[in-house]
Amino acid sequence: MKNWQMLIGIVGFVALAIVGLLATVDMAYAYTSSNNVTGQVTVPAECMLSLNTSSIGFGSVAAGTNTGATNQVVNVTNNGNAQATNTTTRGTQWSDGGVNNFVVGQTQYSTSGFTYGAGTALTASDVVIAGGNLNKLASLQLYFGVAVPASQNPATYNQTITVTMNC
Amino acid sequence: MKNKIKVLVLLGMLLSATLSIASAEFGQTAGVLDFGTLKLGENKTLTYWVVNPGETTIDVNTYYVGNTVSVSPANFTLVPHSQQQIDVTATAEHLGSFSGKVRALGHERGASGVVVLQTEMEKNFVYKVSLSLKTEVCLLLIALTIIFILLYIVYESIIRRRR
Repeated sequence: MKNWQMLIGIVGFVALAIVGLLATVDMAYAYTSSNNVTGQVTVPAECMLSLNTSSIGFGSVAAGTNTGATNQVVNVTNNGNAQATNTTTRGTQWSDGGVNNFVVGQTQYSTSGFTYGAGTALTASDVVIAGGNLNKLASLQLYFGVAVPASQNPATYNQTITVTMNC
Repeated sequence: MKNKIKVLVLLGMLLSATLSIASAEFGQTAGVLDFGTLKLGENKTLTYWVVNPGETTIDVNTYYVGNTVSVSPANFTLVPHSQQQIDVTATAEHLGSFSGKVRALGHERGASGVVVLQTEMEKNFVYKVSLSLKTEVCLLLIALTIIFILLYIVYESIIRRRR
């Protein structure tokens, strides 16, 4: 074997050794970097309508009278992390489940305590509540009162009030 | 004596815990459902979530007000700490701009009383409808044909006058 052939052989061997070493280092690096776990979590913007109670009651109210300055209070809270742009309320007519009923507007509400007559009459369609653009964790109070028409038949009357939040 | 007091205090705590009714919580992911511009005849579905993070079961009815969209599912139940995806599909039937609201009305199961309170979540939607590409090309061809015919008529009348 001639000297130049040996030289080529040695150079080739060294080159292969270097390539192998580099590959090993690369693999080791790749193995090490695979230990770096990155996580991602997306927190969605939400608004969350929360009422402090699922029902209210006015007790016994005589025909031809009203609840005066005694209000039933409901806390409305936005427990979400996004602003609610519009909060509205509406109601159904008062009914005993049979033939006896009286109009929804006999119920009045306000965002502060009031004497019956000074509140806003509840309606069957949605009405925007003043101050109803609730930021996250913000709340407002709804105060309710009712008047029973004169000569209304004695019975237990029920109503459904809906609070709607937009976001 | 001390043990009796402890028992009474524990009973009191138990009673107050039993009497405190968990309030209903009802929420949804925020944001407007913007369908963008749809081609006539096209339909597109966007989704959002309604959530019940509270301790009560809520029966939900979905519906829309304003311009027409389809909302699915129409009725479902949210058990405590659950969520439901709502699919809203807009179908481009007429040209123009459209908007409305999708609502999810929640009835807290077991709620009773003289005045029952309901919670409702509302979401705005918007979409526009434009002509489809095929219709636009057809209209363009018709317009070009009319222009060509008019030009031909004018050309013919000029030629006749010269003769």
